[in-house]
Amino acid sequence: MTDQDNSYRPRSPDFSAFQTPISPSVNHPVYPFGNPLAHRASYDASPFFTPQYQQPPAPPSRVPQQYIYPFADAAHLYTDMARRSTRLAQAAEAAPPPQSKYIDPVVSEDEEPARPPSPSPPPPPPPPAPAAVPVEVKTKFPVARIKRIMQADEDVGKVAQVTPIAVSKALELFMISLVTKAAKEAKDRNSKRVTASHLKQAVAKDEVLDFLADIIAKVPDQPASRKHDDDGSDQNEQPKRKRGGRRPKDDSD
Amino acid sequence: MSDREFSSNDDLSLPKATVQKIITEILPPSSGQTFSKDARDLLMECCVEFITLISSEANDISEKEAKKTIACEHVERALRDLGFGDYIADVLAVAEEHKEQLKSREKKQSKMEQSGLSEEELLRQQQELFRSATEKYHAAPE
Repeated sequence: MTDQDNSYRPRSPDFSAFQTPISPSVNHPVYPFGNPLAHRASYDASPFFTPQYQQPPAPPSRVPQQYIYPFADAAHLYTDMARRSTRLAQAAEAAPPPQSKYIDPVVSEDEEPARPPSPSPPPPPPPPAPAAVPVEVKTKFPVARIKRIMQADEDVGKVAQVTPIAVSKALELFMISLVTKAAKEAKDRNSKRVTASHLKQAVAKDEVLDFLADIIAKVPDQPASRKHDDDGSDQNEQPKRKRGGRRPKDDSD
Repeated sequence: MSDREFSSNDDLSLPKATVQKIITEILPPSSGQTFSKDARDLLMECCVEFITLISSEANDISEKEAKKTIACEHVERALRDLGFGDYIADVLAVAEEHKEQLKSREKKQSKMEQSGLSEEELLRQQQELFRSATEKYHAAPE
């Protein structure tokens, strides 16, 4: 571009001599928006002038970066979200147990029996507080995925922006209720390991969960876990190991 | 490539790691209980079914109102109709929170706030910038 432009530029030595000193501190023709020097950018871009520049320190060039954020809105939005979620994830990893500040009266009323003062086989660690009752989950579901699942149904058309977020929260509460109920079933059977059949029994007990009938029908009634581990030998701490490996194949079945 | 085959199928379940993390939050190691893998997989299926149920119900409700978009109140009504009324308060709170966030973003507050400077300070910096540029322009040494 500059080469072509050159042909249209005044070539008079007088003119160049006049122009050059005026722009002592600018090496590159980059002007912040609204800068009074902006109209001279095309002159500075010309190779005609460049060899004469003295490359001065250009002190004020650091200033604009602190203020002018021309089109960064979207980027801020996303980085903000990303940062938030990682922060949440880290927080969740770092400190899962302390949840006693917020107690939902409805839930605790429902799940009361999960914390009888007489824990069945081996009394669990010191905190006698309800281990699983008033849970506040910090990990969030990916909203985009929720939306996709919602719209997998052909009938479902457009969805407002908040809707998947609302559904995601509902799902979280739903999951808490299912897990808590299944855990209670397991406890009632003196099992430390919550299995699919415990979950099935929990679902079968609740009329509201009738819509899951087809899904739980696939699960065998007999607690499959019984055969290889009895109540006592159950203590193998499993969940840590599962964390690392992601095997998508398991998903499909 | 063949993304309409089974990759989409995979996408229509929840991310396993997230689900596992939430389970662990609900049943922390201190609870003495662990959640087996088959239970987790079943749970994930149930969750997807739950989403489908809610969105289909909410969709019906929105259609009855001749609305084209499923809004939060449709979800709210669906939850109530389906027997999950307990969830509504929390769900609405989250939705409200999100709306608030949106509002502040629309006003482009966030980028100003992120600079950590007051508006006056920013203005001052900009004026200074203009001034220094003008000075440079007029300086024109020999």
